[in-house]
Amino acid sequence: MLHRAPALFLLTAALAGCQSAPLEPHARMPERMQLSQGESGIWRDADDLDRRLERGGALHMDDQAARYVQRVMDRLYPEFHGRVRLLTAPTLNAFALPNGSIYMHVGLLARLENEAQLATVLAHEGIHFTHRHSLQQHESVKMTAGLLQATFIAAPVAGLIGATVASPLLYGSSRDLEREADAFGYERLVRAGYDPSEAPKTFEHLAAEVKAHQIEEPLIYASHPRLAERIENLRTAHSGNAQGGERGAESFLAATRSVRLAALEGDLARQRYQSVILVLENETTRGRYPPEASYFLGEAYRQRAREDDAVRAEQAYLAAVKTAPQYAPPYRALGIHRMKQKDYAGARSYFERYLELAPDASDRAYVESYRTQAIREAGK
Amino acid sequence: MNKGLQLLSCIAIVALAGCATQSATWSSIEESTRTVQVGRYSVELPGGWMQLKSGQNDSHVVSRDGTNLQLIEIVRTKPEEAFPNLKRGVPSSALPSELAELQIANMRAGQGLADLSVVKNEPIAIAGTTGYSLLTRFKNSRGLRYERIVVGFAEADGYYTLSYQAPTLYYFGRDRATYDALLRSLRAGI
Repeated sequence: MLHRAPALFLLTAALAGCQSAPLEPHARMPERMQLSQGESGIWRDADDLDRRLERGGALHMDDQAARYVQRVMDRLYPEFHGRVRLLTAPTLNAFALPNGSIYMHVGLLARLENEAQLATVLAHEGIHFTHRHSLQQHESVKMTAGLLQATFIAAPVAGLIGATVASPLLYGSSRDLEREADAFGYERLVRAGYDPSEAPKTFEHLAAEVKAHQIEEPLIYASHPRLAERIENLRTAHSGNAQGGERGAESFLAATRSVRLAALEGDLARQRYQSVILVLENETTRGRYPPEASYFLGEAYRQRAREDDAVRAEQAYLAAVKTAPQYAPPYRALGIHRMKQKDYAGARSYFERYLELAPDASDRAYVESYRTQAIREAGK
Repeated sequence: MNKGLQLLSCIAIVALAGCATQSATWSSIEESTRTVQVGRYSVELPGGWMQLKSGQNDSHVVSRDGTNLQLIEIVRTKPEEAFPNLKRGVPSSALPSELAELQIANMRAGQGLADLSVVKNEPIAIAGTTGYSLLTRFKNSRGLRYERIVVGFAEADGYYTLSYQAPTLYYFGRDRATYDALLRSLRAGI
């Protein structure tokens, strides 16, 4: 069933195309020999970035999740065989390279609710490639370390909704090209049989992230369509269409289970506690995580360290112990918490339980030293 | 002297004064200059190496062949400015493992250390207190693999770090003993 695309949405994209003198989109994956010298150079730079990401250990090695995401890409773009890869970064980002490589951060994948939302992201990024946005915008692209920087550690939300680094490879510097990717990506989504009512929700996740990190959206994303505008465009696009299409929630959640915990770990390792609290304080999203996720919420409260956060953290750790009693980390966290409360007997008990459950833990030396300290203090 | 010339002279003096206060020079570490103060600690720098004199008492940078080949830094920062890339200070009653966690996140958030991996993270007894000792690996912007050790601890008067980094190939192992001797020389009680 092909839905009717709203005139206003496509008109915007068409006008955008007129402004930037669009090239003929790729109808299939082009032969490299057919590329112009300029485009060929951009592709070689993109190949170089592919290699650097692979060698740099940036790829998330979860075959199940990777295969699943690739299947969705192939369903959206069966004529291209474009390659999608997952990056370990916990930030909410996805980007396409001029050579057709598409990258998605595990942080974004973990935040989505179903396959239709994943398809929204991939459809959008695929349009950046098929419509040759890199060439349209910058004929002489140079790879910079800034791209890697933006990919991993720049603003928590970038790429899909705009980069903080002005790299054309992220297609981040043009409102019009983003609108075009939204519009034609929406068409792809519908054509592949996905439920288009999920499309605006994808951007709502990004809007929630922006709010949680207190990012000044107009400042960072000044050259991009504002999230509110994009959400509204997609809602308008959907309003004229019939309901229906596949959401694919169950298959999505099963295939991406490991990604969600990896994203939480990545967030905490970078002190991005706001993201963890955003996801796990919400009962609906919390339901998509396994029982041990309560521990991660406790750690996020500990890192935030606002008034009463120590109490909130302890409650979360205790919830993790109750629901996942064989999971070791909450015991260590409770031991540290009790030690700071000067409950040394309680601290010792938790540390010993931790060491029983995780005898080969990488932080064993720390926990043993804390246990010794707790015994010493208790004896005073 | 006319007013224009006076103005030019003033500008020149201010500019030169600026250069004088901001410039840093390398000088050889002699026996008489080996022992330096950092906060309430003293430490012995390696004799025969070079020290970068920047005029900042709470920061000592030393190297033998150049900072790309080996770099030892001894730094004391204000507790509230301990982790600038995270815009965070030392949390109250932070344990060594919590300081290490913040140090790693701060390093990851810095420029050019996106692929940083932590090889070892363990407690260390140093100068009468307990801190953390981190061994990390990363590649610089040219793809050269480096290793870095950071030993850190927090005291009421500051957050102290003593770090050593060098290319993994040849240099890191060669000068590691010099760094270990510097760590052992750290003394409290000033």
